[in-house]
Amino acid sequence: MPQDADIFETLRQELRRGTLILAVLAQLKVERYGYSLRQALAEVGLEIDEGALYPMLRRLESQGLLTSEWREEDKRKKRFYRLSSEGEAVLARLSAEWRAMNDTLQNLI
Amino acid sequence: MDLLDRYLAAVAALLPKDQREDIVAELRDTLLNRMEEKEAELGRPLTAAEREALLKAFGHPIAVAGRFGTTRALIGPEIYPFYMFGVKALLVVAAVVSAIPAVITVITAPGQAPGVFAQFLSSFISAAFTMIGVATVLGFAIERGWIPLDGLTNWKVADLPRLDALGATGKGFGRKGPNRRRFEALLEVILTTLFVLWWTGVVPAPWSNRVTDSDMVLQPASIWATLYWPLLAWAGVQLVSSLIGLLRPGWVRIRAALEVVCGLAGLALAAVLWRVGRIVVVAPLDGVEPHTDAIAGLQTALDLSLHLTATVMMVVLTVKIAVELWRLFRGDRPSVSAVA
Repeated sequence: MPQDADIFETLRQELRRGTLILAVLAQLKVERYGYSLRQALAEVGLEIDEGALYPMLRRLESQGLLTSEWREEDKRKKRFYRLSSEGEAVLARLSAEWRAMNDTLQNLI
Repeated sequence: MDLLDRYLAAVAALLPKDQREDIVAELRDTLLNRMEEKEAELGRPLTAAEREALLKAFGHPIAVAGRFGTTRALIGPEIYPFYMFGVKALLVVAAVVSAIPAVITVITAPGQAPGVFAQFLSSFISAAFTMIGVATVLGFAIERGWIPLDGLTNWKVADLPRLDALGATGKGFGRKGPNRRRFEALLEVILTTLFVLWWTGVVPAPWSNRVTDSDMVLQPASIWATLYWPLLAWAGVQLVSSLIGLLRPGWVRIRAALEVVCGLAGLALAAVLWRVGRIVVVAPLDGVEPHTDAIAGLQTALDLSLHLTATVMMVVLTVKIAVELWRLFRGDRPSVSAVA
């Protein structure tokens, strides 16, 4: 039988899953490669596992929300990601949705 | 090849070919960044053990590669309740099919009764695992759309049976819920299909005709040849009725009418069998000196069992016909109004 801590952790991860996509999209208004994106998120208090980040970036790219480009930096090839025009539109809509949900929840909790 | 190359090669081997190079290049950059970050923190190059620990912390190659694949459940949440429903039905079928030879052994060779449970258990486990395996393969195929199953998505509320509110108020206590009715219908479909396959000789019966540990065999009496087509027709009607109960549970009157037909046919069959008085003939094995007393004793016991069974069948079927007639005319209206 799951312990309270396990239940909390499962619910916390469910809660975070959707918000991480929003955070990643928001951070990619500026071009970044995977590692620098992870650092940028960590700096604002959003730790994300690389094992989850890279597949997410590929999924968002395959959905047309991101574009990517291989370039050399610091003598190493890196893949830079950036929000596409479609991604910008989706980010705007998701942000509005997030604010509305936040306002609603503020009245409830 | 250093540890990093070895690790990335293991991941690469598990990635889709068209993305392999791309993903590995990105992972390499990420891992090198991590290593550089750690070296900056320590102020010295990493030892081999520290590099290994860092790679290990990144994840097992199977797990890392798996995150980039199109991970899908073997049987997803949409199909799973139907899968579980099917598995439960198949377990009941496995139990019934395994119980038949065990019961025959108890009747024909009471001396072997202590070993019957082990025989039943062995047969049940084997049948259950096979059936669950088949159900899982079917569920997997349905999940991936290889087997289209419109019934799961293309159903109508109007086809649902009109039932009481499942006893939530206490008023429906004792009535069968929709799941139980469908479960029974599914069970009927499977058992009737098995019977038809056995009756027509497509599959052999799961038991031997030889009486355990004796020189006697049980042979079907000549009445079965006479009843071949009537019984097949009866099974056909029963199959149609059960399929309606499974797929169109709202067709209460049609199913009730078919059940009445099946009940009357069953009643006629029981009456014929009672009158004939013998459905199985006990005979000696070919080339074996017959034990006349043993054969006569077993034959008498079986004939008596038939008379008793036929009598019970007639009583049960009469009650069943009365219930189905009541359902036919009443249309199975709910006993309490579900609509306020």
